Amino acid sequence: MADTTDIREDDPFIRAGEYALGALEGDELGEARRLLLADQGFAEAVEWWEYRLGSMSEAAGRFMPSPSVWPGVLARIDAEDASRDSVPVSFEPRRQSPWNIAALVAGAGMAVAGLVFFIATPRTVTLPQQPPAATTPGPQLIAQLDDEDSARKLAGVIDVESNRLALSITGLEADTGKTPELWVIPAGGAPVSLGAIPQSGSFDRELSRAEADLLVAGSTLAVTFEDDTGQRHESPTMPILLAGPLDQV
Amino acid sequence: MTDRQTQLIDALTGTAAGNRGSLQTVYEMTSAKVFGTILRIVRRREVAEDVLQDVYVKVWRRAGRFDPSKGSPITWLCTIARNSALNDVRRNGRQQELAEEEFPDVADTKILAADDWLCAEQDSAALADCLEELRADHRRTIKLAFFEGLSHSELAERVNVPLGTLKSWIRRGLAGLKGCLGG
Repeated sequence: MADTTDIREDDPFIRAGEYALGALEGDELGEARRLLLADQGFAEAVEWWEYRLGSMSEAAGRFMPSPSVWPGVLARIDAEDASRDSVPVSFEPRRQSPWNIAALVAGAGMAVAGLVFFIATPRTVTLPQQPPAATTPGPQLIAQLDDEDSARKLAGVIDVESNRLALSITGLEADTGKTPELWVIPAGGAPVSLGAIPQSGSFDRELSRAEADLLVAGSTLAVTFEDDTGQRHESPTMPILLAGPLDQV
Repeated sequence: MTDRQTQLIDALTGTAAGNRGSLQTVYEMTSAKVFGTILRIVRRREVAEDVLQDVYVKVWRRAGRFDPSKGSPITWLCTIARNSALNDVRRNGRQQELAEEEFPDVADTKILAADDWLCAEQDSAALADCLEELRADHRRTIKLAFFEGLSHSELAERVNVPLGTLKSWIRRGLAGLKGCLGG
């Protein structure tokens, strides 16, 4: 029967366990919260305890929530998204996304004008050359994926008629033995690998019929780092580096 | 890894990529368990459902941060749920609408059928074994803190011991778990 007799009152690992349990209160809770923000070692210890203790969570039992909870989740997500989109008028300069599509479509009945990427930062990422669209090009799907924190970016264009995928990639440098891998996630489905992609630059290839069937408006493109085995992987390794929806132009 | 565990990781991956259908799959697979975690702490169904909504909005926003190398997805979800429920209790107090008898006995961590268990089985078995090695009063207070979200002073009142004694039990119990689990 374990009973550790010598426990330092200020042992931060044990204090992290008390915090993860939720037992701390008053000044002790305040100090632990301060440490959580200021001390990475303490934050990692809290995470360690949360995962270890959390493995008994399922013993709490199953209780069915009301049917109204799920629609409520969607409504709250929609409300939050709407509040993010409705930015109040301000004279302060808003930070421009370094990865905005500035112009996409010329209008109904007109040819697709092409994709123009407005890059606010000095570094310009250009799309791969598109096949000439002399008269009436077929529909295209686009996705723009970026992460401002890491400066990783990927722009994807799928030409539906010619079954071609074109990518422009920035900042996906992987550790030795790893490679960026592209995924398509059908609405409500599991991720399917589209194979390894370059760490930067342009990339263009033909799509198989099965791939083209998955690459439809509403699906999601995502990128992860995977072991560079030369093979497509069955499921992605978290974390997701980039993700974004495919939209029809 | 079981098919259900793989399915849940896939759904969480889709959620991280912004796929609402995947979030619905995560919800359908886990909401009853996550609700159990919350309900034990806040003890009032209406409040617990508000917290449950909040948890899945957080899952929608944070799914990309889930790292399967650190633990199973249900553990990650229930940790978000526990922390959300604890924050609610700290802000608004606890209302005992539901009695202890309405919940399964947490002394038995194997109350679910194996095919219903979403957590990595070896992780939960390791913790269960290590908990069994603790003194009974240490084990009991750690479980009470975990499942009911009770603070030191609430625990001391519940088990009717001085606060200093209670804190010592918790700390010694955690030290035992740390040694046993290799922390």
